Amino acid sequence: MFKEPPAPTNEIETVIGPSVKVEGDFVTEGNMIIEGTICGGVKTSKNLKIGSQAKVFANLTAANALIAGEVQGNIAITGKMELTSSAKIFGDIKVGTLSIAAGAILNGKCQMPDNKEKSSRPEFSKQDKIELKNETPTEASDKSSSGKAAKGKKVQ
Amino acid sequence: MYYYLYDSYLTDKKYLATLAKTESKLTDMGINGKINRLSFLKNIPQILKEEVNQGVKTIVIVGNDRTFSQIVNIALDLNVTFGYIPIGQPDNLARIFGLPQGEESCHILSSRIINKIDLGKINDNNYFLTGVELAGGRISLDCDDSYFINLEDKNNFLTISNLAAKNKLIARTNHGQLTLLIRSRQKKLFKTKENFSVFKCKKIKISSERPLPALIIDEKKIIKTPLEISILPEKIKMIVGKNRLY
Repeated sequence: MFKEPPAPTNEIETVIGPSVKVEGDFVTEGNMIIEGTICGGVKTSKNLKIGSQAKVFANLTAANALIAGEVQGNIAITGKMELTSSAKIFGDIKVGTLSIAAGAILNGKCQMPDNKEKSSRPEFSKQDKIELKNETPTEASDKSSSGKAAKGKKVQ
Repeated sequence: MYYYLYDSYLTDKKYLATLAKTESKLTDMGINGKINRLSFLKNIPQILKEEVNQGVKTIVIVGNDRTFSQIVNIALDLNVTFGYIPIGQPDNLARIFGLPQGEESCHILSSRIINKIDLGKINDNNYFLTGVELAGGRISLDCDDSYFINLEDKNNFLTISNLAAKNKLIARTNHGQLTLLIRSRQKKLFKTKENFSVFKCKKIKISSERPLPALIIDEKKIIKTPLEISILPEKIKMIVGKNRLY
């Protein structure tokens, strides 16, 4: 009877072309493609794609990112970040899942905030060294060899 | 109470049959009302204000997009619902609103699906429904007072749109936002490469080295830079069809 509300689409909301230079804080709620130059800050709640010719001098925040160009600034991605072979990153990254292709350049700290998978470290320093009650193998071999010698004497 | 405003070109013979059919359909549906025909001697804002004071609740424009765009600048002052019966071309706005030609629009008028439409504003005194076009080199754009865009190439073509179905790139616009489309051509040895950029914002200030002409698409009116373009959300009450394009 009633129409269903339209499903959210993956339409691209912002495209920064190769001939365009943007300066300032750029905040958007949609998907974003950067092919040009941007200085300042970029924040999107959805996906971000940085093309191979793009130069970004900004701190980036996005849900997911595909980076093929140059980024000078810190990057915070909640979901997945993919660096292609042409990607150059000069800054720290904080990411959920990271994929780096061979040839990509990453200069900076990498932090993955999920600590749930981390195993607890055993406390080695508080443990005493276990003293073995069995005889050492050298002593045992000496005893056996002397025993054989004794047996041999008896035969004579 | 309905009030019908007819464009002067409808007196032409080729429109008479369509107009007669439309009028009879309106009478059958019981939504007929007072008719006024536009002419060069009539002052549209004054006529409409007088009619609204006398109790008119719905003003229906009968004509084409040019007729409809004449009321855009005065629509803010009139607290009424607008209808549109397109007859003839151009009918780009009618397609955006989902209105078919001639008598078919009478059904939409009677069903009264009312939408509140955003209105674009330029320099405090001009308004637009569709968009503004501008071309030139060395242009600076300040968007939402938070970031600015520098266009240093010579061949830039800018479209700032509110409602538009002409270009597929900007066919869908978000409510309460303007869409800025920048197309730039780069000439290389044997090829001309065209690339585009798309931005969404609420306010754009456009400045250029030299004053550049900008075209308001609705009225075919030219204004010069610097421009300050903003959006006034949900300002016009409009009767629209189910097949609207926004």
